[in-house]
Amino acid sequence: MSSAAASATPPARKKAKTTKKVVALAADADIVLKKVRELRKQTAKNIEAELSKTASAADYGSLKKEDLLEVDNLASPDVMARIEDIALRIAKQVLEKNHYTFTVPSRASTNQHYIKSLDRIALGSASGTRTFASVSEVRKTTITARCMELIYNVLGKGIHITKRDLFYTDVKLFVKQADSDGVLDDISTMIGCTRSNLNVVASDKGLVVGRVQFTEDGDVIDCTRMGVGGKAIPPYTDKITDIQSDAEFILLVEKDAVYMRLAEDRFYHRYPCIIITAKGQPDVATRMFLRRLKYELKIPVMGLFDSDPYGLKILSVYMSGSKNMSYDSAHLTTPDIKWLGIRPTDLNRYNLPEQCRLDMTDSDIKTGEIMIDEDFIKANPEWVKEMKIMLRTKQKAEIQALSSFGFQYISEEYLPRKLREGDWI
Amino acid sequence: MGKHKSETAQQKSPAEFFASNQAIAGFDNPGKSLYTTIRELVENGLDAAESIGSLPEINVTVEELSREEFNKYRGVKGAEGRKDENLFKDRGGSKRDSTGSEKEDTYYIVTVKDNGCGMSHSSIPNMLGIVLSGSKYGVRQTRGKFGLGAKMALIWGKKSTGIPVTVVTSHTKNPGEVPAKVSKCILDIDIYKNLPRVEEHTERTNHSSFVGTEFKLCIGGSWKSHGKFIKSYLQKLAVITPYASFSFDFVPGTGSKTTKVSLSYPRTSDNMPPLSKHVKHHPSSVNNLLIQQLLDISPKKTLLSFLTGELSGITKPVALRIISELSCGDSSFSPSMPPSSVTQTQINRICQILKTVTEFRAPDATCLSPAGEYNLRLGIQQHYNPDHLFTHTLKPGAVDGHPFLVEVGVAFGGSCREKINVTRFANRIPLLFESGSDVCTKVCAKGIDWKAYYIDPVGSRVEVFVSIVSTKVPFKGTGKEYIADNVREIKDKVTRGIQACARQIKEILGVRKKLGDAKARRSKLTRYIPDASKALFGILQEVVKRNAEKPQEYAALISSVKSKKVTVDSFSDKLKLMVNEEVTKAEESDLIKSKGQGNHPDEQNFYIGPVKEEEFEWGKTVDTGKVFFVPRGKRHKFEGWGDA
Repeated sequence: MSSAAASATPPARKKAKTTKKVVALAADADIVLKKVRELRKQTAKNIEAELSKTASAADYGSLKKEDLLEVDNLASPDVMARIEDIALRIAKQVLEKNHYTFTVPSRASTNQHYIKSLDRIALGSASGTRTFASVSEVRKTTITARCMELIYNVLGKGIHITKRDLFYTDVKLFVKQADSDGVLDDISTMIGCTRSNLNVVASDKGLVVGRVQFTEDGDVIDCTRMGVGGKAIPPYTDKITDIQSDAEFILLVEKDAVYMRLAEDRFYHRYPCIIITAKGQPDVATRMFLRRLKYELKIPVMGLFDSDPYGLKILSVYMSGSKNMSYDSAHLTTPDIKWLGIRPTDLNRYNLPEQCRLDMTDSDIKTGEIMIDEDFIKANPEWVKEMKIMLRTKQKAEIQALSSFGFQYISEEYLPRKLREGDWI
Repeated sequence: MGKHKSETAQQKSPAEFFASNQAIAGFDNPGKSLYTTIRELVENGLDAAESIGSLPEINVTVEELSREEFNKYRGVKGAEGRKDENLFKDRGGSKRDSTGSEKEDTYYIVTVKDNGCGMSHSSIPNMLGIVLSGSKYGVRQTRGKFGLGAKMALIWGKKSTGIPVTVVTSHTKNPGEVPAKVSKCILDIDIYKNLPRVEEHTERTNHSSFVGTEFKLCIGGSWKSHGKFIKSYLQKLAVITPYASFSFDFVPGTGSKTTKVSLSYPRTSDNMPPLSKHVKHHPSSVNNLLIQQLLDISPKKTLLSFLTGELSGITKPVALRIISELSCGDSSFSPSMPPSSVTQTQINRICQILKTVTEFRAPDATCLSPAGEYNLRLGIQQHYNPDHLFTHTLKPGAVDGHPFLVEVGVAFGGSCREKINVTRFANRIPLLFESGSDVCTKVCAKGIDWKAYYIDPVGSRVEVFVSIVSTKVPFKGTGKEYIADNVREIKDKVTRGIQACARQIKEILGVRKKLGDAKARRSKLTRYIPDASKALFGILQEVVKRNAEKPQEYAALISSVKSKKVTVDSFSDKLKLMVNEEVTKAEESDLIKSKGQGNHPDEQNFYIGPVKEEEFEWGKTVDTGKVFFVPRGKRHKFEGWGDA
């Protein structure tokens, strides 16, 4: 009886204590970060050397600068003026010759060149035409003209719109968002400006957390005070100013889940760093943001990616740019990202249990075989070695595989050990 | 051993055999029997007319008899004269057929009249009254299934009604000649003796200028179940035989619910295919019995001359080689041995060798008598009036020593039925039953990729006609209603024939498609004109508003936008002009091509030979000298035969 009565009374509600977990600098920080600091010094030196080099003196390998199409970062009035010029030229064409043709720089793979000295892809100068009189091109030609007009209006008002906004301004003509998105890169190359100069942006994708402060459109942002989720990387990086940081390095993470783990463990306090992710394939804003951080703070970037061809492909987009936007690779790429993990050699070195290793599929192997021939891999012999191991063992592993040693293994064991040993390539 | 009935070896006459195995000859049930009777008599009539080179004219009448009429006709008392009604009481519905109506045999008087050679007075009883009486020396392309002709109809008549057949005939060997005498014969057949039983056999002066033969039979049947097949048979026969004229009348019995039917298929051509010739057997087609038979009747003195003379396709050197091969195992074989001395074992050996030797000349296809592309085309044109019609004749082939020839016609659009329809002919006779198993149907269903010829197999209206003629059509099944698709030679030819026709349709449809493409191109380009002009003009307006500094070459343009000389419409008008020019150019080039491909309206008309008989005329037939020009258009209704 008595026991029943006791159980019936509700248990006294404990007042939840909102004690903030204070994470201090790790005791072994100096030891762990010894090699990182050495790398940082080297990186700073390299960046300064790179920046002091004038553009004309840049080594384009077998190509000349004139052979490449590199867009400039233009101010809105300049972009508008160039749109006006295109419009006038075409209007004249219509009135005189009854038809019109755009000249659009080609973004075909034959026009993509990897520049070894710059460690990124650049667009060649080849171009194609898009004419209104052709049935197969009339739609794209019209969409291009319409988008140009819309962008012109946006620029005139000095605002930013998303790709989705752009699509909804004329759904009837665009039909699919992919169609209106698709011509944006063409318009950029035709005008010769970066994609962000068009003031058409993608929605947020990237996240940043860690020891960095900056001003965004007048607001002071402190990324150590952004909770466990971190700050979304804004689509308009041109509004970010006054970047300040005491971080030793930037940790670039492929996956959302790993980012969450590190953010929650406040890894950036234990070993001062900035943690960034774009949740898979990076968007333009994240890539620009990463580049700015690296060049303004002059600190090294460490990559934490899956040990599979796809992870490496994402890393390559950060480093040498995507083929689709190679015209703007100068503003988007962050060369010299160190491949920290998880690498094919880690599988044995860290004794990853068998159940965490996955067999590569046929398409994985095919992608891997293409990757090993890519210039950006070949540029680094250590990477080639790792790729060869991956293709030989035909095994892949995701970063989460480390959770088999405990959920916090990555932040408490794996990363400190990696950093201490200077185990990056 | 008591009352054991002793087994007596009964000898069956051929007539008796067929009487008890009617299904083999197509007399499965009353309905089918009515159909087959008409078929046999009509085909006999066609053969009789063609044999003397007359353009056939076949009149068929089927009169339905009510029970009273039937009893009256045969002089037997019907139900009204019954003494003991209980004797006829319905027992448990067993006498009801599947449709639920009272099962009562229906009887018909079938009259088939032709304008053929007729029969000589004295030969009538033997020609009709003895089953399997014909001589079969050599092979020949024939219409009939078994050479039974009217005899099975006679047997069926005797079996179902017991009423003898009435034949009126006048014999002639020349077309157009009116014989002086006309014979009348009423007879039936003594099934057990396989001999005619004549009731009346008279000859009189031909006062009414009667030419040909008229059969009048009274048989059991079922118009209800097989009337549609009879109609379909005649329609298809008229397609493949446009040089013949057919008329058909069905007269319902008094009180019958069936409706009167009157069909007429007038002659549309006088181009009659040549008669098929008798040819000697090809060595690849022989069997033991045949060799035995040939050896028995051959007048040849030596084995060598027998091989070269009695069989086709064997040259003297080949014959000598065959004999030396024969003598290899049996030294009694020699080129000079007399045919009469060949033993049964030796016959087996000869057959074995002949069937495996491959050195013979291919069977001679000149003995075949195909309908001819001209007739096939004309027949299809008159009956279906298609938008496009293509025919194709393939080179003759051979199956087991029997030559065959395939003719194909493919009609598209017009009055063709929906989807892909197949009409089959074997030796110029339509095949109606078991179409699902037939090689032609199967090729059309599975062997042809219609879409590759721009033909939508579901939405299009297509009629496919396949006519196969051979000295021995490789029928399958006892009913001889279909050709199996496992005869590779025939399947290949049929496939290639249909493909050849479909290819020509594809060209026409391809041009049509291209013209459609030009239209689509115009509408697609035009659709984007407003958007493109608006976008351009939008930017220009802003330029004017902002008053930005622009290079000198654009000064005129900017000022005309400012003065509203140039508006959105200026751009859209210019673009419209361009679209018109571009598309018209493309259309013209396509049109030039299409003219070259025979799509010109004039080329769709037919030029056919003169039709001698003038009792009827096609509505707009124009005499253009030697040929008749038949305009395309609906088939004109046939008004009548005049005084027939």
